[in-house]
Amino acid sequence: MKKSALALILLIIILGTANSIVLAQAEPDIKRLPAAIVKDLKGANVNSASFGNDGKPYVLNFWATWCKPCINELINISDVYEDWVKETGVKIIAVSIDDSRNIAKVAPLVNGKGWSYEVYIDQNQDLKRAMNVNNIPHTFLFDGKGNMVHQHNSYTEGDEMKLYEKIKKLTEQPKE
Amino acid sequence: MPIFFIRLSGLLFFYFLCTRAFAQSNDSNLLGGEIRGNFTIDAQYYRQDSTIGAVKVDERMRFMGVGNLIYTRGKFTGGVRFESYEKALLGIDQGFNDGGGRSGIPYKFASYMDDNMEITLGNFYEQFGNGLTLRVFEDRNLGLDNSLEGFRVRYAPMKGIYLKGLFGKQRFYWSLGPGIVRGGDGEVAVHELYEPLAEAGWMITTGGSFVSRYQEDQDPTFNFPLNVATGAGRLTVQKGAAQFSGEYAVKNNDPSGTNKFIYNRGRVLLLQGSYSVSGLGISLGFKSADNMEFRSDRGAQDPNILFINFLPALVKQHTYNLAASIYPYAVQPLGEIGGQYELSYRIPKNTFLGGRYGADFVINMSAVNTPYRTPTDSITAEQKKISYNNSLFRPGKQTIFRDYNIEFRKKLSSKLKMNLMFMYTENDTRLTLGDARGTLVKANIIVADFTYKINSSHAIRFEGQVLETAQDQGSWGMGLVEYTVSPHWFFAVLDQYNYGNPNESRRVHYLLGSFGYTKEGMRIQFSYGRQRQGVLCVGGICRVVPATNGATIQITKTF
Repeated sequence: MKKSALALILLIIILGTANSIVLAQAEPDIKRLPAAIVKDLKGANVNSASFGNDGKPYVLNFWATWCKPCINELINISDVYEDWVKETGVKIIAVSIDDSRNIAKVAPLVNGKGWSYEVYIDQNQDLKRAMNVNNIPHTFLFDGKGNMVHQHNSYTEGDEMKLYEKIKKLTEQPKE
Repeated sequence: MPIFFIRLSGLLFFYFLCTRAFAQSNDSNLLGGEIRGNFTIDAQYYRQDSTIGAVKVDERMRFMGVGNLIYTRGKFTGGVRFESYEKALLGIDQGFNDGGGRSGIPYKFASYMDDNMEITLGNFYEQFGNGLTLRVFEDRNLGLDNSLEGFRVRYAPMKGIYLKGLFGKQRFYWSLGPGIVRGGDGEVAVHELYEPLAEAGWMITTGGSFVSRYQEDQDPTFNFPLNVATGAGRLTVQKGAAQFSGEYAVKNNDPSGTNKFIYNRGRVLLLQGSYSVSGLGISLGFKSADNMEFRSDRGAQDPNILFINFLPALVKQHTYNLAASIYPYAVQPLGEIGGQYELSYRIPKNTFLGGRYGADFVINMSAVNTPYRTPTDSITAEQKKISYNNSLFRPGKQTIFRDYNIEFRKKLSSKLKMNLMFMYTENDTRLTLGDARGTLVKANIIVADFTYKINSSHAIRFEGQVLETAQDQGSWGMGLVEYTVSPHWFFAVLDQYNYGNPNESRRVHYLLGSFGYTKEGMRIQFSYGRQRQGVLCVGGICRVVPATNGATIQITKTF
């Protein structure tokens, strides 16, 4: 009984990884940012379809005030953000999925930490659902044409450097 | 055993369906649109463990799967969610099993969105204002879904004016609740209509909402109102670094199983203010609620089903294990008065406390009491069934919850980071946990959290926590070691020890080992050991887990 149960677990793991390997070798799929209405920190409605960075790459990060790994990630990026912008022109768009319990804390947190990200609030989680985010933090990288080229779920120390390598690769491509 | 394979084959079929659809979307522009989706598979193997109260699970192993497929082409979006509970893991609402386990498609929608209008048919989630009159939402980790099935329109006739209207019935496990929900919401951004205001730096938004529920009355003894209405008005004002927002909602008499069939009206007032400049943030909140539970079935009693509205908890949302999951706060929609204050301050670099890198501290205080109520005279109580009078601004003497905490965060060197927290809490578990034998628990909690970055990819984190109390189950200790290899791996060992339990045989260890692998949008996590019910945060993700002993595996993917 126990053995067969373990065999099942193994089967799931193998299928999961096998699929991801097959998919990783497939052509990069081209996906753009779907349209959903979010609010900026001044309370204005903004359509996510208008997100962009004047032909330069941008990062879409889903976070919340109560999510420790999310805050760690945003703090760690904040430490180097100035250099990132200077070297690649990248922009970080941080979308908070906080509900009315914590929504009043978003602006004090962002200002208190001195973050210079573009921050939005996705209170009804319309954008989170449209992007099919399971858990936060979840980060998406879009190239200058608005195609989603990379994503990463969760945060561990050092992930920001891996993300930056991907950003640099996008901006270092030789111009035609 | 064969039954497992039958159940599993269903899940795997859907899994391949998802990934095949994904593969196709790579090859070609499927019908010229895009397909996106995600899925989560949870499986748990249960061992009976009487020392921690982990019950025998007849199935020994349970599986849950949820998958979304969303198709977008231009202004059109359509989607379905497949769910499978064979059966729901312990800790998830067992109603989803529909008896012996159940799979199906409880969520499907089609929507059209252009520059100023969005129309949705099918299932949807929505929130009016702060949610005091309506907030239908999902939280998969909590096993919570109260989506509406019906019709919704969002319309912006001009810049600065935003209207919403909807009707439908709420999801009730695998069917719909009995009440029809109708509602509308309007919001006016005054500064968008009158630009000189915006130029002067003012942002003023005002709005109102109205929601009504219709439910048949077939009760032979009670004469229930067939239609119950709620209405709310709200205002947000912002200038420079300061922001204020308030919302007030009222509800018609709504005798229900949970309010013991009283005919009192419901009311709730929510006030929030904040001030923040670089390095300093202050926020204040006040909430007073009375008889404000609003569901689409007046007979509903289960804690998480058929809620139309939402009352936010104005207390800090902790994530450290012992602080978050042993004595958590729960909103009392039938009546509570509370407030919260939070101050965050960044200590500059090159100061005594700030050191070379600067440091942050946050002070947070919240207090919630029952409201002060005076019983009505016997005639009013019996004939009108108005059982008490109260003021929204006068708290009663009974403490429901207190939380005074301070958190200090500091980078000690380029490699070592420290986070310390001290918290004092009081919690009446009779109200917050519905524990009939509960009491007012008073506890001190101390947390120390150190992260050492070994190199650009490897890091190790240590966490030590103590919860000290003389009541209930007594004191707890907790230790965690977590090793992460960016960007793919994490390994963690966690032990919780109920060393202060008055019953010596219950002074047990909850040892749990886990590891996980992440690649882009995919994540696999495996854990083995004892789990207490509560919020578990390891390896970068927070999740609610039940009290069990055994093995757990979770696979999530976004594509």
